[in-house]
Amino acid sequence: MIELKLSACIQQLALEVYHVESTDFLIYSTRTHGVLRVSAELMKLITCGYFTLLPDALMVLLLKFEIVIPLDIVEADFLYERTVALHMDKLDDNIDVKHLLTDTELLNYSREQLLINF
Amino acid sequence: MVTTVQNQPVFNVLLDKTLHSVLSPRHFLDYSVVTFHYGRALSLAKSGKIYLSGFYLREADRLLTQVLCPVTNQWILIYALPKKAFYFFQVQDYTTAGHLSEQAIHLCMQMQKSGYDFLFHAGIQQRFNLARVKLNSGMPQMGLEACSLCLVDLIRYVGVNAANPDNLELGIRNIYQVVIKTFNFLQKKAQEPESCFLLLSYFLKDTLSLPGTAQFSDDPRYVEMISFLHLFSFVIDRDFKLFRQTASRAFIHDEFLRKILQGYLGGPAITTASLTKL
Repeated sequence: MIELKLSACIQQLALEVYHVESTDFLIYSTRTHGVLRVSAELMKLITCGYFTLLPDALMVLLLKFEIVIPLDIVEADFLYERTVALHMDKLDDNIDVKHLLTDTELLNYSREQLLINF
Repeated sequence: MVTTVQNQPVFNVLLDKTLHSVLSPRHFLDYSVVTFHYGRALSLAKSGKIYLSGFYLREADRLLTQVLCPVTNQWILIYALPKKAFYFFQVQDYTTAGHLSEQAIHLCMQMQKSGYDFLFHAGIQQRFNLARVKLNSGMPQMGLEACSLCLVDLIRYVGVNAANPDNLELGIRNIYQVVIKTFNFLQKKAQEPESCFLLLSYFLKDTLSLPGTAQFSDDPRYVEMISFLHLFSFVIDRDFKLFRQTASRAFIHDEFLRKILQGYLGGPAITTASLTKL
């Protein structure tokens, strides 16, 4: 089973309204710049980790904005590797680097080796 | 009535219904998480971001190993194999792409036998993907034959299951996709497009000459589709005389289909009025 957790890269903001007890929440993901407005009830389910109780559409949005991520992911490493892949694609637009680094080679490269390559 | 929910494709609605009935909420969550990663890998591969797509694909593969329920695993594979095949197709690893498409076809057939009839359409799409791999790996004749077989099977299936509106809808949508995608693909990639067009036209006509094809269903969309295929085969043939003769009797109300024909003719937009004039 895949365990999930809330990403560390999010900001929560309560939208308090005068004389209204239950407030909505804004969740901002710094990883994707996605903003989501959820009700207090749903926010409680999200923070408590009851993801199976959430509506399917909301779950898709939480995954899309990377607000919820798999538990075993080390976020710093994940973001680093993703940025490297993104840069490889950008490089690929200008130079044909495919012959320099194949996917398997890229996997086997350590961070240091990759940095040297850049 | 055709099954629709907020303009979602019929296939997705049927799949969603099935998954909710087969999987527990916990397993459905696993399915959502893994397929989301495969979906992202696919959209990145489509936009040409191969490295990023590969990154998400590896991440999805890693998550898939954590799903231990065999039923969930099988449903995830039905979703994931085509996505992986497309990634390898994009990186021009046609052997792996072909192998993955074959696996997907086999899985779809297996599930279809277990009573999930709507997966016939997913199987057809995989067969088309396999045909596309063959077209791209220097086997145009074999690829076009595979496309033609897809069309024949689709039309037969639509004919047999015409009473089921979901099947009719899915079948018609698939037929258009197979024809238009093959044509677009040949136009962009084929080394000898003219000979490929001739072959495609031959296969289209072969499909349309199947006994009883025109009478399988009297649904207006089916009739429209058959008219479109006839017209399209003439356009491919560059047989404008026959096109004009047939177009005058054609039954094409759909704006999008008219635009397709107009695009390939290179003339002014075809309207119902101009079709009558032709």
